[in-house]
Amino acid sequence: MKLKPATLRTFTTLHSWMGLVAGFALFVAFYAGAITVFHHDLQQWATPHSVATAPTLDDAQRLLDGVLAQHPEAREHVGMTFPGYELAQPTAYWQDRHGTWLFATPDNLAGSPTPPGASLPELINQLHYTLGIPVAGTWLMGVVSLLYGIALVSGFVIHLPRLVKDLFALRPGRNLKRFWQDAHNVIGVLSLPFHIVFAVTGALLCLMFVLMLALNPLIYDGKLMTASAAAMDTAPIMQKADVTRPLSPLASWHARSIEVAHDQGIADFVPGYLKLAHASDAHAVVEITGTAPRGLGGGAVALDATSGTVLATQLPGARDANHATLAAVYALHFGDYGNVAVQWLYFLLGLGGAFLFYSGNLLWIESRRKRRQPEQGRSSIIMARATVSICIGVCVAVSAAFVAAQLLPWLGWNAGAGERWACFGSWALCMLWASRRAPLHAAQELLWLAALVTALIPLAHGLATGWWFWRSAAAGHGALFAVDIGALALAIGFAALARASARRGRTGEANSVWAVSHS
Amino acid sequence: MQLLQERTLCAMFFDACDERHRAQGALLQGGVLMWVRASAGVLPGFFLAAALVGLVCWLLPGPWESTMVAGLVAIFPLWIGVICAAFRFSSGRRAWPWLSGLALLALGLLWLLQAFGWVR
Repeated sequence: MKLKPATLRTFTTLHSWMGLVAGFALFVAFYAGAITVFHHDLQQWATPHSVATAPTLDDAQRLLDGVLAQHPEAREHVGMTFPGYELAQPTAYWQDRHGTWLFATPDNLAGSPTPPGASLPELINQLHYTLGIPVAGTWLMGVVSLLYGIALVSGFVIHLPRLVKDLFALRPGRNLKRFWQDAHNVIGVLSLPFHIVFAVTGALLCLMFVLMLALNPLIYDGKLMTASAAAMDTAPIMQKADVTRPLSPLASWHARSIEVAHDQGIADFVPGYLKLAHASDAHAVVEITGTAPRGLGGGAVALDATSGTVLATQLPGARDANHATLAAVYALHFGDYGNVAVQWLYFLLGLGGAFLFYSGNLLWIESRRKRRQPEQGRSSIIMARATVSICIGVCVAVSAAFVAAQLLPWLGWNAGAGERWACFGSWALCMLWASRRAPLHAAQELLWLAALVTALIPLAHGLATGWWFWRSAAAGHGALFAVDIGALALAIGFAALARASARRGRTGEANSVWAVSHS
Repeated sequence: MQLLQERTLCAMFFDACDERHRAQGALLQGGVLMWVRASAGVLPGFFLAAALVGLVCWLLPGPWESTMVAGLVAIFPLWIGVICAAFRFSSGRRAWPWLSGLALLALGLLWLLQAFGWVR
């Protein structure tokens, strides 16, 4: 396919500007996002002794009864996870009079504004969807997702003339730009469907609320907000009857939802959490949402909470278009369908995405390289420094948070605040360091640091909990073992990259920001 | 002979300066042109994408509510497409009126259909 030279030039400019503006944020989002794929396993890894406890539905019933008895607000609306869904323990959550969310567990019926469980998975998740910036971070990442979409289209267009011919070309050799270009292109093209999914679902998840506010008067005739409950929830909205009637047992809702799903052909439905409205009223409604690994996204069953009568269902294979689309958006973004192979695929594609943005920056520098003189342009040096400090820095920061999550509770300190300090503090220090050093030296030193801190993760875990990875493997705790071994593999990867950049400094082209002679 | 060489060198130098100036001017103009086209894609482009989603959702058989979530999802690729397509215009001064006009037309049509209750 032929393109006009002017079009090619415009889209090349567009592509490099989008990369420049959004590339750093996307690197962080993809690196942290790849790790967030395993947030369940991470929760288990970061929660001391979580592997020993196995609460039952009776504990969940006790929790629900206790919360409903103590907190009148929870009788209006309360949510609760079943044992083993996010945490081993069931958790109930509701909003108090002031709109603050409170969380209760069987050990703490009074409720607390801090969610139970380890805070590490949530920190990594926040890094993923807000870069750690409060409030505005979500909208920022929504805009970044849009820019990412534009970068995908423009990148695809400029690569189009050579797309088929160069698909499997990866040409190492003296021409480094060609090599990085080939690597960037092949990853971009082969994982394009994955990237399209993330540009669209990422933008939607971050901007859904703002978008609905804008579209409501524009195209939905002001009726969007009233229609959205029916389109997104399963349980019908009921008015209170103001007649007291006791709830049927929680175990019966659990069993009924599995039975209903089974009748609709879903044999592997696992209830995850429930939403209960108007508890102890005659019109109490409970909605049980669960996972069905063989469907794209789980489903929900709404029951009359006093009699167990089925009110509505939205299950894979028998959903309306709204629920099917929403379930697909969530499932495709979070990768929680299928089995563990899908999660590993998402993890690898996530790291591949991070590489895409990193190699994009390297290409930007390489195409502005002054070939005939050792001094390089200011913009190239700034770009090299920023790439090293933000991208390699965040790898150090994430690993530092992991180490802190294990060591701080062991030393008797608060893990929640300490992890944040370790994460953002180490990131800031990396940036400061990289701003003072020649890019090549900064890259090598920060990569060695990343390797070291990442290698400390299994060590800290073993020291703090006694779960050395060989012990977890022998006891069959796959999650604990996988996090430790994954950290070791990443540490080896960082060390290999550090050695590769040292080699590049010594033997690569001398006239470059990445050459020894430059520093 | 030497004089001639000097003259040529001078001419070459000034030519080069001129060339650089022209290149910088073109770059600057190109930059401004890109911003104007980008803003056309982002601002009227959003209204155009929204109107197209609205038209499809309300014109499809059945109530508009049944394609609500799909519409919210579809608006993003559509908007991104319009932003990219805005760069196909030769200048921002053409992109703005075209995209604004199309957006107004599509929104107007949608509001008309809604007002008369011809769609639901």
